[in-house]
Parts: sequence; structure tokens; C-alpha cells
Amino acid sequence: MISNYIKIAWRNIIINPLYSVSNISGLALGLAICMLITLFVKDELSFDQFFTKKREIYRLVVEERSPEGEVRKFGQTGLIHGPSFQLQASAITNMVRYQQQHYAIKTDDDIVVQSAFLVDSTYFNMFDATFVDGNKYKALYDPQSIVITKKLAEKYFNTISAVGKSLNINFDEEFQNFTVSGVIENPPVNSSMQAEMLIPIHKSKNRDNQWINFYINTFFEIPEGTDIANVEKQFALIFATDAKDQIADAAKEWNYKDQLTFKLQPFLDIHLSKDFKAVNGMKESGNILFSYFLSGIALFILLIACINFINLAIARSVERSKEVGVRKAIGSTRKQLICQFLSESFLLNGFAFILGIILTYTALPVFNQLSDKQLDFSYLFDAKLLTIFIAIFLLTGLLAGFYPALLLSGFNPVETLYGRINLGGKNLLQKSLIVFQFSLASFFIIFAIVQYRQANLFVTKDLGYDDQNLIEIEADGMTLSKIGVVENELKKDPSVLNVSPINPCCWMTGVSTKDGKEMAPYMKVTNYNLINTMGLTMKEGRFFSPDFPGDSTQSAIVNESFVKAGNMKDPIGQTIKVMNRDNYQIVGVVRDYHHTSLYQTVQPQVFISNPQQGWGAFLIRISDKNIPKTLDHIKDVIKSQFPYPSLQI
Amino acid sequence: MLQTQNLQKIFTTEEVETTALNGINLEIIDGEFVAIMGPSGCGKSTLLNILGLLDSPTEGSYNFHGTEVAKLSERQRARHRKGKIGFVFQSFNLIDELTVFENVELPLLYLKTPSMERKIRVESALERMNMMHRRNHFPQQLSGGQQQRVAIARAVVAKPKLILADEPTGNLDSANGKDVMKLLQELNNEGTTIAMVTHSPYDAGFSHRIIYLFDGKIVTENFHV
Repeated sequence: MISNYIKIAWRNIIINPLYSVSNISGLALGLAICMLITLFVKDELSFDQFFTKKREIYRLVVEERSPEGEVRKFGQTGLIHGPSFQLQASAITNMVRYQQQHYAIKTDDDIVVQSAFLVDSTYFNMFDATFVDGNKYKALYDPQSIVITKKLAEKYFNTISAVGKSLNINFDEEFQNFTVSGVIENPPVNSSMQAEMLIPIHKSKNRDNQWINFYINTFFEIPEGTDIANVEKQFALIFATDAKDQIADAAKEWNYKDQLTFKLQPFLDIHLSKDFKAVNGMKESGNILFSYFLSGIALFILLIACINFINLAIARSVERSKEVGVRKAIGSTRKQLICQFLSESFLLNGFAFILGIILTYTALPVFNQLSDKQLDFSYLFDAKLLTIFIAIFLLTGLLAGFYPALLLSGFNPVETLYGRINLGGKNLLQKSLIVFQFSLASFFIIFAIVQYRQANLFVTKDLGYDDQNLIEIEADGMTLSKIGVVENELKKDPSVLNVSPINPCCWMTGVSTKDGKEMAPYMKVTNYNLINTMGLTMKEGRFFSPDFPGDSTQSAIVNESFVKAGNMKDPIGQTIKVMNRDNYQIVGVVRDYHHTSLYQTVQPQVFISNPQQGWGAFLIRISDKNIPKTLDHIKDVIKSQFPYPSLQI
Repeated sequence: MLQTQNLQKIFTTEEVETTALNGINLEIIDGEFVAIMGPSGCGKSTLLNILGLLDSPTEGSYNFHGTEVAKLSERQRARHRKGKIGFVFQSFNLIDELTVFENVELPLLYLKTPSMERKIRVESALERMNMMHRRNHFPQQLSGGQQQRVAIARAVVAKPKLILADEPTGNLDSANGKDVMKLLQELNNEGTTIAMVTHSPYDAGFSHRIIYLFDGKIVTENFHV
């Protein structure tokens, strides 16, 4: 009997190609989207799950509360926090600091810039890594040792057996030989810890003991079951004692009044945290809300596909009603008819699944590109997911097949044999399904339009400056003379239109106005050329100018949001104090432009051109003609002036 | 074989009630060939459907093979119908997705007849209807007369005691119609009871008895000798 059901189902598929194709492709598309989203969400939720000590690792994070109640959250702390807290809080059994740096490495014929991580020697006691060469317990004890991944071993030595070989690295401003003490497997794509080269942090000359300077990830290992709130209370006491003098000095020197609270963030929470994000070389954070939202969309799309399947089956049931009548007349029971229609549903479902899998496989590279992921099709083949997909297969088959099966098998044989079936008017469920399907489809269409307009806004929104053909290149050791040389050399190519030195994104500083208002605006350190390089416009006053040599130490420019936030009625000529130390006179107000995320309103910003504040990058405006040639020229010029920099173009 | 008493069928819609059968008292004995005639809308097909257990009467009694079946549920009627009644329809009602062989095999599948026996019985029925050469064809590939022969093969393959035929020659030319009637007559001669609805006096001439219906009542009965 089963073979008969399958035979009939197969012939029905062949005989009604339009119906079959629309039904199978609809469901397949729904399933493919569902599978892609499942892969995405699984990847997001699986981040860092493979670490053995995943539930014992915490990151030290800090909340900074201003007297006005404004709270800023940092996922990083300083160099001193980890050792100090570990020494005095007995619950901490291990501590690892993790800081990304870029180093120049001399190879046989070139100098390349390589990302590397300064870590404590106990790194591999906390974070799992498979050593293909070397010993994990000894790997980072010698300050002159490095651990690299298989990928880097192959890149620099053409072999993964690289232990004992050395790399010439520009470390603390001199080239030194580091010996490879271990080669590890490349980190999994769903790991927050993507270090390809690890250097013992005790090699660094940095002995910074600042308690109010946050630039490094600090991880603690704390046994499960420990009262975390109690450990955080201990941190507060330790900080109050150990940082007392520094806090007092900061209050005196630059009017620092913020309250700092140190907290422990579970390691598994980092990837999806929106408050304390993954920073400083940790793999970029995801957004748990986005994952939930996508899961909802996946469910709704699958629901629409199922409802579509049911509606098509019902619509076609009128054509098949005679068959039902005949089968009943010659002896079929209702149960047998239900089995028949269910088997047809499952067969169609099976084809839809196969097609869905093919579609998923085909679309995965494009999806990876769009979502900036490295999802692998093999993710689908894990026991949990397979169970989920088998459940979806059964559920879809039952949902999509059971109702039409029940409806068709319930037809009165006499009415069907004499063509008196009338589905109109009575079938409330089908009407409800159609209304539901159209409502959902309408919702998705409207949602897609809104999203398109939103994306379009991000692309076409006037940012307040010309963001096209603008290049930022980071460079260390920028001096006034070098900046001058670079500018002259660059401008030998007529495609280079303007060059300005700037500080790297995104410094904030303490500023007080003459009325005593304390502010924390973004600070841009630059020179007179920035107005042309960025295409900024002035609202009032002037920008920095070579005609006013005192600008570099006496003048500041602010934006409109600064004026508004500072309640300044006539800002030109007013004096502001930066870092509670240096006085600058406001000589101009630039029109607001978006210098942070478009999600934010324009934030207050202050521009100064004091070389003592330091630069760290060049901002270069080029023409849109012959861009590759211009970029080569820029690279050559920068390399000629900064032979061993941590430069990235 | 079957006996009805005061059989009534009333169709009720939201607006009107229509009496299709109004007090039918009918007895058909084993081996009889009965033709049911009458104008359109007189209740012939309704009577045939009730006799074939496809429908249930509103009132009255219906005794089929010694069992009172008038009040049975759809499921119970299906169980009684299976293997005991064969149907032949005016529009053949073959399943388009199945071959000739598979169409004829279907009643045996529902009866869970073993596969070897199924094959023998289907081939025998098709040979008898002279349709073996078309066993692998689909219904659309056959002429009307051939389709009706397949329908008769399907009706007889389970060896039912009763065959109900609703205008079996209605869609056929006279030559094919005559062939079909001869087949039915042969089956009847071999002991199968047949009740046939027809408009054709010629077809009715093959029966032992003609019942005339009018407005849901039996108005005349003619016996052939």
C-alpha cells in the first residue's frame, strides 16, 4: 500500500508540474532561509563554547559614572588592575592580560606588518589551544619567545615545524630576534580569541601603573560556584585603597570626579554583549537581539511557507475530490486516504528539503559575504541541529499535509462523485490561513521596504562632510618635519588633493567652559588643512590658519553640538580649559558633521592643533581618477618616511 | 440481497428542503438484474447511492445482506461496502494517475489481497474485458468504451455480490454501449446481482425488472420474462 501511495504521489508531482514546482520551491525557499538563519544564529550562540574553562573565565570591565549621572562602560582596564586584583582577591586562580599590537617584521626581502597579542605566560592555562609543535606549559615563559599559528608558521617558514626558528620583530623600537616556542592550530572562526601570534607581556617595557587608563583586556579564572558579587565588592575595596593617591591627583590636576565600578563579565557573555563589547583584537561582538529577531523571521518565513503549502493543497483539493470519491466508493477508509495524502505531503516535503539544502549550500558563500561570517555548511551536521531539522521536516510535513488530508478525506463520496463539492463560504480555517499568510507577507514586504530605505539612508545620508575618496593611514612617530615631507611628497601626485595629520579615532577629553561647565567632548588633534581635507564648513569664525602661528597652542575650534551642550551664547573668543590644564580660545565653530556612528546624534567635538597632543594618522583626500596608482604612490611615500612603522593602509 | 422499507431521503439546505426519495419499498433478490428508470431529478441516482452505501437515508430501513445499514456511520458503511459492492459510473471515474492495471488493482489493495493473488485476479478481469493489451496505459490514452470496460473490470475484480451501475452507457456510442451491456448481462448470468440506473429503454431491456420512479416514489414495476 505504501508503494502505491508513493507511486501516486510521484505521478501527481509529475502530472501537475506547475503546482509541484510552486509548492516545492516555495517550501524549499522558506526552508533555505530558515537553514541560513539557523546557521547564523548557531554561529552567534556557539561563540567560545568550545573552551574548557568557558564558565570559569571572566573579563574585568569597568563602569565610569560622572557626577551628572552619565555612565560610560569599558570592556578594558589597565595593566595594573589584573595583577593587583589577583594578588588580593583569593578567589582568582589565574589572570591573563590580552592586548593587540601591530609589529613590523623583517623577512628576507621585505618588512611586513603583523598583528600580535601581548599576553601573560599563563594564557594557555586559561584558553585552550592545540599545539602542533612545542609545549604549551613552557611556551610563553621565555620573554624572547613567541607562539604562532600554523597559518603564520607556513607564511614565515613554509613549514608548521617552526619551533626553534626565529622572527626579527620591531619590538619596543628596536628589531630583536624572537624564537618560536610553539605552533598552534588556527583559532576556530567562532572564537573571540583570534590571536595568530602571542608574545609574553613581561617582555614589554610598559610598566604603566595607571588606575584610570583603560586599554587592555584582563581575564580572570574564578572557580564555578564562587560568589561573584562578593569578588566585585573586594575589587571596590582594593581599588579604594590602592588607587587612592592617583584618584586624588586626578581630581586635583584635571578635576576628575567620576566614580569607577569594577565588574566581572562572564566570558560567554562577551560576544553578544551590547554594553561591554569585544574590543582590542577580540572578534567583533554580535547582537543577541539581532539573533532573536532573525530567529523570529526564520520561524515566520517557515510558517508562511507551510501555510502556502496548505493553501495550495486545499485549492487543488477540488480537482482531486473526484479521486477521493472514487477511492471511497471502491473501499478506501478515511484513515487510508489520510495516509495517502500525508505521504504525498512528506514526499513533496522531502523534495523541498533536498532543494532547500541545495539552495542553502549554493547561497552560503553570498550569505557569508553579506553577513561577514565564515559559516560552514558542515555546521548543519551536528546532532542537535539534525534533530531540529528532522523535527522541522516532520512538523512541516504534518502541518502542511495533515489539514488537507483531513479535509480531502472528509469529503462526502456522493458529493465528490457528482462534482457537488463547494469549499467556498464554509472553510473558516482556510480563510484564516489566507488572511494570516497575506498579513505576514505584507508585514515582510513593508519591513523590507523600511530596511531598504534605512540602508539607503546610511549610504546616501549627508554626513556633513565629503566622505568619498578619503583615506586614513595610521603611522607611529609622526613629527612636524615628517608631516611636512610626507605632504610635499604626496602632493607630487596631482591626484593627492589634501593631506592632514590627525589623531587616531576616537579620543575623548575633559573640557571645562568659562562658566565652569564640565564636558567630555571628542577631541580631534589636527592642523589648518583639515577643513579642506574633510570638506567641513564653518558656521562662524575661522578654522586654524598658517596666518595665525599661535593657533597651535592657543586656539580651538568646536562644533555646533559643543556650543549647544555648553549653553554658549557667543562662543567665539571664549576660553575653554582642556584636561584641566591647557587654556584655548575658541576661534571658530564648524557645522555639525557625523564623526561617530549614525545611530548617535552628533556628539560635541573640539579641535586643537597642538603637536604635543600627538598625531597618529594621515587623512588624505584623493581624486577619483586612477585610484590604484594613487594608492601605490601613497604607500611608497609613507614607507619611505616610516620604514618600520605599524602602518596599515 | 437487499430490502428497503419506507426509505426517505430529504436534502436540506439553508433555504429549502427537497424530498429526493419518498417511501421507497424495494426488494432485490440474489442474481437479479434490476433497471431503475425515470425522468431527471426523480431520485434514481440517490436511490442507487443509498443502495451502494455511499449515502444514508433520512428515514426508513435498509437491510443489506441480512444487516440493517440505514443508520450506520460513514466508517461502518465503508466497511460493509468493501468487497461486496462494485460501482460502474457514467463518467467511468478512473483515476488518471494510475495505469489500467493499477486502477483495476485498487479495490484489492484496499482489501489487502496478497500481491500474487492480486496479479492473477487483475489479469483475469482485464482478459475478460479484453483489455490486457492496454494494461500499462493511462485512462486518457483509452477510448470511452475501453475506459468503461476497465471500470467494469475494477468493479468485478473483488468478485462483489452486487454491482451498481449509474447510466453505464451514458457516455458511449451505441456499439460500445451494447458491448458494455453484454458484459453486464454476462456477469449477471454468472450470478452477480445488478442494479442499474438508465434512461435507455434498450439498456433496460437487458434487465429482469424495470422500476419506474417519479418524484421519489416507485410508480411502476415491469418484469421481463
